[in-house]
Amino acid sequence: MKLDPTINAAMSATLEQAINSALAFDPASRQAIGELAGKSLLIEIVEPEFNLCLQFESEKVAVTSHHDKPTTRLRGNPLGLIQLALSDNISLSETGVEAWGSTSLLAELQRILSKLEVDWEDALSPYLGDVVSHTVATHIRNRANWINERGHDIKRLAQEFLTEELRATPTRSELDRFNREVDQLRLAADRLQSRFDKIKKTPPTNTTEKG
Amino acid sequence: MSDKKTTHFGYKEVPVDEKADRVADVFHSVAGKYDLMNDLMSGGIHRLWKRFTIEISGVRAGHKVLDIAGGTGDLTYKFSKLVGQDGLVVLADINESMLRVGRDRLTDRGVSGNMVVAQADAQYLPFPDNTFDCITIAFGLRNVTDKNLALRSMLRVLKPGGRLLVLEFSKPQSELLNKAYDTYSFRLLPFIGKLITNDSESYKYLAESIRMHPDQETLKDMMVDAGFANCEFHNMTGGIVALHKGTKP
Repeated sequence: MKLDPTINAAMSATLEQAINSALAFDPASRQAIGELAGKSLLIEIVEPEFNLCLQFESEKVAVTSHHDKPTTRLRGNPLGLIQLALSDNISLSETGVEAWGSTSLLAELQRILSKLEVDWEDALSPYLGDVVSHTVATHIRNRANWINERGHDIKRLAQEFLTEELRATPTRSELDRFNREVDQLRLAADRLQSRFDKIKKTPPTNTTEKG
Repeated sequence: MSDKKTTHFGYKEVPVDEKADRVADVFHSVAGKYDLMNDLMSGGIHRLWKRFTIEISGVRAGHKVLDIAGGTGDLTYKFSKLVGQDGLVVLADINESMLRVGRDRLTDRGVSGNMVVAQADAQYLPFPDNTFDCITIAFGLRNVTDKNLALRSMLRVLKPGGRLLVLEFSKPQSELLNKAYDTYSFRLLPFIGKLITNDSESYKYLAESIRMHPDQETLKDMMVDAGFANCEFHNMTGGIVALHKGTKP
């Protein structure tokens, strides 16, 4: 189902506002983004179908729903794309996301995203004053660190419980092997299809003997 | 019996040479509060429709853009940022009052150097052939007396490969939405108009002119007939508005 362009435009406007607000309070990330100026990443989301394109400029990021010639194009479902954005060392094949164009842009973005650190004091001080904003900012940082650590713990424990205790899911190496085998099977099927098509196109040879 | 040619002005039939004056009166009346009314009538959604138009335009640094019926300069402002100092944006409108509001507003927002203002009739654009990389006409085509003539005029001044984008009210795609939209535009809209601009007639005209405007497929066919290639349209907000795109071959 294709999303109405009005909703798509609203989403890109909101995302643009959020990204640039975060960058405004993180000079290091802003500088790193500036180095990507002129490049663009088109994300094609399926189910529901809509696009988000990040266009990097010297001081900010423009988000649109359309781009004629992006540097990199990603296509996948929302879950796979979120997984790709949040994980430090994940490959495209594990998420079901397809990519075209320069993949170095993806690695660079993943690096910037992992180092994003908003200066909450700077962001809050115009509204709350220096002392209160420092207290609130410290609280936010501590809370974020705590959530991050607990998140990693939960993920690790759940993984161990499911694979080692319950044997309900395969281990990572088993999954990798399975993915490789599926890839090989897909390639073999493609080759077989090509041969079949070639044979179909070949005109039948005339076997009638001349008497 | 008079053989004088007529055209529609909302639901009324008026002589062809009177329509432009009548439309001008409508916009002279609402110019001062045009932006406020747009925000009120659409709940701010008109900004998203325009945002999508800019995204589809593909305009970049150095381009020449013509914003016809540019009114208070929403699109011109965004385009002036995109084309940079090497490009040019022409804010054109047939209506002097609207143009004055647009020019003052853009000056107040610091737009200068790459923007000019022109009072021009979309049917007889006063520019040389093959001048612009992109032409937009947002919520303006339905007020033009001869739409076919205007489309041909736009084709003439576009560069080969240049894009025309027509953003205009259109036909809602679902019956339910159509009914709700009818109630809104014929009951509520003139009331809001009366409240804000003390002019319910202009907003009654707005609702009527939207119903008289060609639907999505008809406008697409008109663009093809005028000579545009790769014509397509995007329905927005369930078809209440449609963005038509065509390229000069």
